[in-house]
Amino acid sequence: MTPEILLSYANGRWRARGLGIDLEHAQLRFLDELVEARLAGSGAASVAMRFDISSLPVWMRQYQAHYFNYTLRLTPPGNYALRPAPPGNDTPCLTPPAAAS
Amino acid sequence: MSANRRWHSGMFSTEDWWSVWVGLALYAAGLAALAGVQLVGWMPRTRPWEWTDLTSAFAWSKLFAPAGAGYAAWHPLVSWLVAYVVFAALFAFGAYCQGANVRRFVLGFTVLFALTWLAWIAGNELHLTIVDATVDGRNRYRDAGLRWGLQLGEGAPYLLALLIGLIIGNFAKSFAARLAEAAKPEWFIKTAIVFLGVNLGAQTIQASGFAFDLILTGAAATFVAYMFFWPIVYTLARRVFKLKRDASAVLASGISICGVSAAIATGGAIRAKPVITVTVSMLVVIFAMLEILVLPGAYTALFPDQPIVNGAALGMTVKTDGADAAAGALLDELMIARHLAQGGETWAAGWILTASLLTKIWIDVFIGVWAFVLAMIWVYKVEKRAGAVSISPAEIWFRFPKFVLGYFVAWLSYLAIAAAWPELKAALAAATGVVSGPMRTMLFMLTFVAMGTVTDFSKLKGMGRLAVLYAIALVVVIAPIAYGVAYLFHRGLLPPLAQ
Repeated sequence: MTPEILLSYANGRWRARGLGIDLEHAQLRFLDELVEARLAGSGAASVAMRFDISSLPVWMRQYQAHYFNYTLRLTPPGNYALRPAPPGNDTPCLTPPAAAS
Repeated sequence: MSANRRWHSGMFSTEDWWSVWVGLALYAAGLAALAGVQLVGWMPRTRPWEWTDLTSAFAWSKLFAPAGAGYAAWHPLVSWLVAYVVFAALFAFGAYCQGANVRRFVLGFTVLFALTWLAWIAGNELHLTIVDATVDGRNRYRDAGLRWGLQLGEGAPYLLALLIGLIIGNFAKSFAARLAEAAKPEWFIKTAIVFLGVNLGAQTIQASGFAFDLILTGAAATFVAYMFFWPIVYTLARRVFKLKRDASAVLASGISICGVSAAIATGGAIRAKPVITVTVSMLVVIFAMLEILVLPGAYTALFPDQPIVNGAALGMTVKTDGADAAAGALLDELMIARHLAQGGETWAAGWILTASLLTKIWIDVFIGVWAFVLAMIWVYKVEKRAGAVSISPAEIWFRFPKFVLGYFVAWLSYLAIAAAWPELKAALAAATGVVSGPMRTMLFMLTFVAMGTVTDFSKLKGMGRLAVLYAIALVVVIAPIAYGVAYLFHRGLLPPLAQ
């Protein structure tokens, strides 16, 4: 069974919790990169990202009880590089090894 | 619910599945009558009444009475109480399994149930319903000695229910908030749609060619929604209104496909910020209510000779299942009343609603596939993250509307029983009549009240160009194309006459 991370969204920020990490970012793709970097050496090949449906208002859940899940493939440990935060974001981003090289 | 989901995940924890369980349980209870056991005959059915007659000699039985012949001796209030207990228990158990606050749910449900019956009974007063028309040499309007009447037919209780709900939702907001736990229009309507599978079974036997024609042309409507509406609205949003890709996609799905569920499915597929999905969903709900208020009356007035075209057009235009079924039911009643007044004939009830609903159900069925396609486009083309992110095809199943399964199970099982034991056809119709009749109507009424209480028009404030885009897309793109396509397929088709 793939290890699992719980995603939520509040006050304009995505949050990833589980497997000993608790990370936030304004943009999901950069949060993915943070998760990747933190779990790169964990031995897991991938991690299941599950959106916590309770982040949506109660009245909406009767229409669809599912927002999204996806699998994040973890890159083997490497030289992740910090790059400046993009405009409008306050957290620096990590560049995965492939992109950094 | 785990991300490592199995195909049966959520079977006892989502409203969608619970509409299947509640719907099929009551349908099965109705079928027990074939074995001589009447399990649902206690369900009360409203009766037409006239206020001077009632005030001169009051009797509960003039307002409603048990629908099953075996329960005719029951006092109407006892049958009403049993109906309340059964429906409250079934829905409260479902709510408990979904993790709702059961106490708040039961309190809210009790109020909604009482308001529903108030509207249903009041809406059956003859001055609201009965049509001044002579049928088989008899004019019931004149027979009742009426001097005036709104002549709305069976649409009157629906309008009254909607009005009551809207008053609460817009002028008693703290009260509406207290009802929120139980105000589940989608759950109620999806359960009613399972019951409508029984109606479709009976209609298929009554006029099989017509029923299958509606089923097949519903499939064509799906093509229109996904391949015409969506690209047009998306382009409009991007090019004219300069919206971002994610907002344009979510909005295009909400307007073009099936409303809130499509907005959520698309928002999830492209991993849009939930705030976008929530905003679009609020727009959909408000505009769907406006469509219910305007379109059935407008189509009845403008195109009184095109009942099936009107129904199918409604199915493509009105978003969310609840709003579409509600608008379809209202259109069905208004058009029957109009045709009776003008032509002196009574169309069989339910065909216009079926035209509206089948169109919508076909569109619903493919939302999972569409969301999966969008997810792939976003991962591979927009975000270019194919190496890092993978989406499982199982997402298609997780987004599939499960109530459709209940609808098809009810329809096909009805047909199978009728085909296997032709001598039971009449008994089958009688056995399921309570489920497809008063129970289904009551759930529609409950939907109208609940939908009104969750609609707050003041939420339109601040929506700015999103609301303008929605209105333009609806009036200029969706409604005209939908009507044109429906006309192409259904022009001249009329429902069979009531027997």
